[in-house]
Amino acid sequence: MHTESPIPDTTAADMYRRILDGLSSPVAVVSAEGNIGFTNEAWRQLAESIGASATETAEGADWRIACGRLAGAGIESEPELTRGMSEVLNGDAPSFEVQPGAGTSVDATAWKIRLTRMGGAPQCTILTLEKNAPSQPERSIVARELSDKIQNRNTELEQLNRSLRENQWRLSEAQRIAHVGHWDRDLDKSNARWSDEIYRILGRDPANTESTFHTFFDLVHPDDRDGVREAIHYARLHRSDLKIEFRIIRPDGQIRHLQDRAEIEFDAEGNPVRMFGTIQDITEQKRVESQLRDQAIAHSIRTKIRDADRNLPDTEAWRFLLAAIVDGFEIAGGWYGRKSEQRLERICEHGHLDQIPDSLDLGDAHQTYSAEQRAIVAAVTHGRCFHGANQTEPCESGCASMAPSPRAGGIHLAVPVAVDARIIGGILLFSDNAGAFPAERVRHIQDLANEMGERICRLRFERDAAEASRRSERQLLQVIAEMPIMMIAFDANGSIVAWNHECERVTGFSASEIVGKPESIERLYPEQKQKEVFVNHWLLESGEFRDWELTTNCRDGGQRTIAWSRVSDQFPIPGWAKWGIGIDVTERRMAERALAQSERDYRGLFDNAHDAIIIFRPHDEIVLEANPHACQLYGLSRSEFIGMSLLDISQDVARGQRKIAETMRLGQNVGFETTQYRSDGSAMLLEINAAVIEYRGELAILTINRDITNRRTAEDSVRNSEARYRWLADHSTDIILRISTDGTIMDASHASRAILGYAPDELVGRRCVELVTRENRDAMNAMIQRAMVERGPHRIALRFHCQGQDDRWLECLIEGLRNPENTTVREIVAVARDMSLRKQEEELRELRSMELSHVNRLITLGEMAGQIAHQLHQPLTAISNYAGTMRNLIRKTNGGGEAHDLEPYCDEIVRSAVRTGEFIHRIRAFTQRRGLRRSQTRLSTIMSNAFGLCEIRLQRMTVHTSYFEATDLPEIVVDTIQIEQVLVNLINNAIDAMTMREAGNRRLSVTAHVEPPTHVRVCVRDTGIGLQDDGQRLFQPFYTTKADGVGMGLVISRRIVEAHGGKLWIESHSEGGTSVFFTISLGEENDDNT
Amino acid sequence: MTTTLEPTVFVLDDDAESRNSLVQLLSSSDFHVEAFERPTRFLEEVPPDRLGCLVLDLCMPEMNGTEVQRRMIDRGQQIPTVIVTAYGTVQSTVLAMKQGAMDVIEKPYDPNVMVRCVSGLLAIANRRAADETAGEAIRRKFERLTPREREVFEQMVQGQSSKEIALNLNICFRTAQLHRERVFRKLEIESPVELVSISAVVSKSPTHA
Repeated sequence: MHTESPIPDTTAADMYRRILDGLSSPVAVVSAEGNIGFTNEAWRQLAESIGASATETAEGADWRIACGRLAGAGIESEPELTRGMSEVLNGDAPSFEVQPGAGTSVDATAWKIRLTRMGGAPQCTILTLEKNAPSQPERSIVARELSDKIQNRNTELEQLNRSLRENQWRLSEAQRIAHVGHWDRDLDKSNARWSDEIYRILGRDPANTESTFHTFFDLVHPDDRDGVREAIHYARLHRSDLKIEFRIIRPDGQIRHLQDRAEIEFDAEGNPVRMFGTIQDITEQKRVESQLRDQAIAHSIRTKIRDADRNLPDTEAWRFLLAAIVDGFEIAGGWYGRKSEQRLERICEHGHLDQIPDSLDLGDAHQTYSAEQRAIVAAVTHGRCFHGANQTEPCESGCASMAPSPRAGGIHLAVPVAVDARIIGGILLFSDNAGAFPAERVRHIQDLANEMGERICRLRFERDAAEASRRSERQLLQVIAEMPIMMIAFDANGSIVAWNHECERVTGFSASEIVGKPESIERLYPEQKQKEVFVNHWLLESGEFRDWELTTNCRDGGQRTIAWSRVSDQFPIPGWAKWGIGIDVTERRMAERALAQSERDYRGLFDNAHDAIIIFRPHDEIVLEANPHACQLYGLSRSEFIGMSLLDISQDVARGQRKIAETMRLGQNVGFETTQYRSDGSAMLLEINAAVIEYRGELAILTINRDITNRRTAEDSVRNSEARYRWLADHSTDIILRISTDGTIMDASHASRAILGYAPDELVGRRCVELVTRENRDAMNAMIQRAMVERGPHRIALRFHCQGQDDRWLECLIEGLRNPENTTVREIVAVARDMSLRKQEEELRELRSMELSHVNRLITLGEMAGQIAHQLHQPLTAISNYAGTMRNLIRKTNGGGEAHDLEPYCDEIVRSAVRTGEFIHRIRAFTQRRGLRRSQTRLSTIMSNAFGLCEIRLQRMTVHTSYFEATDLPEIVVDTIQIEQVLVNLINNAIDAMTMREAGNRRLSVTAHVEPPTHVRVCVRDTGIGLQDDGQRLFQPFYTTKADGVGMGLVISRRIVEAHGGKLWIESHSEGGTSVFFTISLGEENDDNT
Repeated sequence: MTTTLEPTVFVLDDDAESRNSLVQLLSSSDFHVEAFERPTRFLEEVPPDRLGCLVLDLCMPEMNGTEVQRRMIDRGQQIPTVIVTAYGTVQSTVLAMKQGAMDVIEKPYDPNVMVRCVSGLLAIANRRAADETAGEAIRRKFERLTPREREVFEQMVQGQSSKEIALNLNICFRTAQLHRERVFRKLEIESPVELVSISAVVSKSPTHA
């Protein structure tokens, strides 16, 4: 219990105290309850001098006990004292005096107790102990004066007390809230006065606590004791105010931070007499302050981490962090370890440390380690902070309840370091200060460590990425430098910054001469115009451009054509504003120019040639090119001419095609004549020199056409010279007749005698139509009429009467001779040639062809010898076997066995014999040597013969064959053996082509259709390996793809087909296999058979 | 079936005409004949150990005669074979002979030649079958020998005397003699000369390999 101290506010109390202390008599203020309140110096000295304890005499003590102690008032006098007190308080008497022990002894030195009522409320009395010595009258005067003074100030005091009461309450509350307590102490007394709050702050119970300095000093943290002592000493010495901060350890173990502000009072001699001060609990404030400071430190460390050199090696980075933490938070030392698999390896440390091994086994945490080792292992293993000296259980809340470390060195903290929830290591920190690791700070440290870990990982990643990017950039530059393409780059200022090896090679200018030199563009392009173009393209324009050709100067003075292309700005390279490539196209351009030149030369030749030159495709005779002369000759414009087919303007298409085929075969064909029509319909006789050329990648025929119609006309002038004409005419094997416009023969050549049996003289004067048979006369007349109108020779076959012989067919060329001046026909010339001679020639040729095809047939059969033998031997074997069988059976019968029926065996023998005969006949027919013999037949018949010849081969090869014939296919008139030969050739070829195929995939199909209007088209298709080349070579004689072939089959086949008015060609299929097509004319039965 | 045990003439020819006529000829000569058009059918249906002979046409679409021979060799079929060909080349004939054909007959042929040839082949087949049986008996006897006795047998075949055998096998002379006697007794032979023929049979046997 502790009553409110009746001490007024500082000013009043001060005054009060001074008055009381000024008295030499011991004075105490006693409350209405009888407790001693304020005591003066004299009182305290008295108490001290007799060794009274504070509880007996000091503030709060019972006044009666104090009186007993100080003034010797025994128990027996207490009722009297009590009565006196109540008298004074009740106002019954202004004062009360008692002399304790009056009855026993009156000692001059004995104290007389006086109670004086003090005015104002609360009611209290002033207790004065007085010596009875009369020699000290002044004291009573003083007391009276004092009393008076006090009395006088009653009103004042009352007011003071009123405000005091309010203030007391307010102060008490304020103290409680602010944790401010106050104390004062007379330096000659041991006890100090402590306010309630001080007890609370110190955590002590007021009831059993002595409010002495020692009590207080024992609570002070051992570390702070020296500081406190020193501060007090300093303040005394220098008479200055005292202001200290220190920690105390409360009895319950809590550490509180306190701030003490105190004043020291000194007496006149300068000796300190009294101290008065306040104590404030600033733990909370400290904590906040510390938090703020930690935050600031953490912030500054974080900033440092961020600003730290990015290229710091990892170990250095950790050392840096560790140093920052240790120094920043004022920790004794630290250690960082990296977690690797099962171990924790120390990689750096800072500050003073105890012996910690370089690595710790994470799996063996509880075995042999010291407390701090266990803590760090546990932290890294569990991912939580651990701290303390001997505490290894996870502690989430940090160090708020941290007890002083029992270890002399202090405490430690183990912090795991995690990046992305993965623990990469741990930090172990040491401190001598038990409060070094508050929860907030632990959090900061942990954050910092994690941040550092992340930064290192991130930086490592960034470093790797940067390195990779640098590497790829280097590679790119390397590639660019080495590539065989010129590469040029400009910086933003337009000067060249890159010039690779190829550039050096092409221009001869080395990079050092070009790069960064302002005059380099000038050197490359001295010509103003070129330079402008270059600068415009490279520097002023944007976007891409391609193949901008510039003639570039070289170091050796030469010039190269370079095609520059700029790479789009979308593909920037650091440091290069614009870049692109160049290709040296000098040679290419030169070649092109040369080519163009030669083309021009050729064209010049072509265009200026005196003769008409035409280039056309062989198969359809489409004109590909014609020179101006040709255009003039044919009366066509070039555009009309090109693309038209010569087939349309030729008189004898078949002959033209033959000539073309001949040309294709021979490569050239010189000097044949042909008749073609001009655009106006007039015919002209052309002498043609043809050659096979390659034109724009394909084979073409170039012909030089000379219009010999004109030459004839020119020759006419020669002919005008009669002698020459005669000479010519008489030496010609043809009959030459000059006929007047009315049809009378004017002249005849000597050949008339040999052919017609008439001498030339006999013919002159006769009408020309009389020479021919009656039925041909109209034709001859018509032809003569035509010759009068149309230019050119007109060809006609006419049957002439012959004297003494059969009539003969003569082929006549009839032509009107025109006057050069007015182009009217002057006379008509007819040249008649004996066709029978020509027929003989043709027959001779045909005979040769027949020979050839016969040889081919023999060869074919020779190649088929194996099959033929097989086919003959099978029936012969059968015959022989059946004969043997019959003999066996007959023997058995003769030997007494039963009779056998032999008839079936005989039948078999006959059948086999017939079969053999048929086959032999077929072969004989096939190999017969004979002329062209046409007969009406069905294609299917020929087909089955051909299959029959090849039967064994087809069987052996398991070729699946099919024949399809269109239902509307008419009978044809052909040489059956020759067409069979063609088919056998084609079937054999097909079988050969299919040997490489597996057995199930060999198919041979033959189809026949009508090819309108006059032909039959046959297709022989196989599933063989197809053609290896274009197939044209197949038609060359002696070309063969077969090991044992002769190479004539297709050549012969084509000739046979052509002799039948058709064509033969080959198509290869992309999916494999080949089709051979041929067409043959349906033919006429009575074609001719002579 | 009893027919399977009867020696059979197999005719393999794709040409119906010559095949049918040959079947007639051979049947009339009292042979048991089975004819096949396709080689694969023959190979599938006739087990390798069938007793008989084969008349094989050289030219067949599916598989020629030499290929049939090769397949038979592959499966260990040793049937005596005569090749028949309508148009034989030297090359194919030589190959056929190399692959074990006993004879080659060209079409057309004298029926007597064919009949003689076939009976000759059947005789060979029968003899082989008999040899096979005899060999089997010898092998059975040989099986009775103990490993040590077989070693002694080997030595004896090489013409070693008892003394030499004792030395080579590191046994005493008396033991070697005893082994020798037992070998003679078990193989049921009288003279060392017979040992060699037994050795020839046994060395072909798979059990002794």
